[in-house]
Amino acid sequence: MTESSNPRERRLVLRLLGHWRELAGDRSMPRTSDLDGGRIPDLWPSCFLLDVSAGEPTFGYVGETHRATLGRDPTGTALATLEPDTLLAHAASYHARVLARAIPITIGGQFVDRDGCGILYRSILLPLGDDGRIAALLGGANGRAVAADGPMAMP
Amino acid sequence: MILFEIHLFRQGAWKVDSVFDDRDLAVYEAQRIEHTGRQSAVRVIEEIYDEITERTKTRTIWRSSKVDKENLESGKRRLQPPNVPPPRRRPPPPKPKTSSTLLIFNLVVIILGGLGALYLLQHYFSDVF
Repeated sequence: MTESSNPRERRLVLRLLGHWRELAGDRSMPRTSDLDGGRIPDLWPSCFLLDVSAGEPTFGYVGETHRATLGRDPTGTALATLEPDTLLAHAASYHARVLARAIPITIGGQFVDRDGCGILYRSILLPLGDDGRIAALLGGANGRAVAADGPMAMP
Repeated sequence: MILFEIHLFRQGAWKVDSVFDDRDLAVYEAQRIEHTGRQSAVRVIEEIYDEITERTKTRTIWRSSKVDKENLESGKRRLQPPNVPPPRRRPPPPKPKTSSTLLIFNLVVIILGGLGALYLLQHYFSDVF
């Protein structure tokens, strides 16, 4: 059984990290070309790709879950143009730390979205590249709405 | 700010594998890595950054049983007396003859030889003349 296919593990960040480890093998990180969303169909809609090869991080792919939340597809646009009160923006906000350390980082937290709804989220950013040079970051994030006095079901 | 780093022991050194902001998640992932059996040792380090003092405190909050086993065996090795025979003592090398002794010996030989030669000459010429 592979790490990412462990049926007991349901958390997005750990499953994505397990898949990343499988792709990397003995290397420090997998290449961008190693990634195939078709191999992780249940995770892929919550994922995104940040292309960092040209300097300013630009979305190379944004999963359907994030596109639906945003109401648009930011693929091809710069991270800096993204609305700050979104799950995608929070999930990508620590990209500089991943670029600096070249290791996976997972961060969770809470924020208030543009509708005034509290969102509890967890995210992960994973480096992709060759020979230690990072070309892109694979991200994954999911969240749920929370009430002021505790979590509640996501609408 | 509190972060949790997973460290893997590779090629004789600890290397940071991944960073989490959640203790349970970090320990869970470390245990998962340990169960794969691909790593010789795994540990989770807690890093607490004090923004006022700008100092970071670190401590190990979890480590794989392999680390404990290796540490235990290493401790046992340190406590046990060495089980190796004492090194053999080599006999001291003979002292070389000093150059002054050799010089005196040579002088004595030359002097005795010279005296002998004088005696023979004196004896020979006393017979001839």
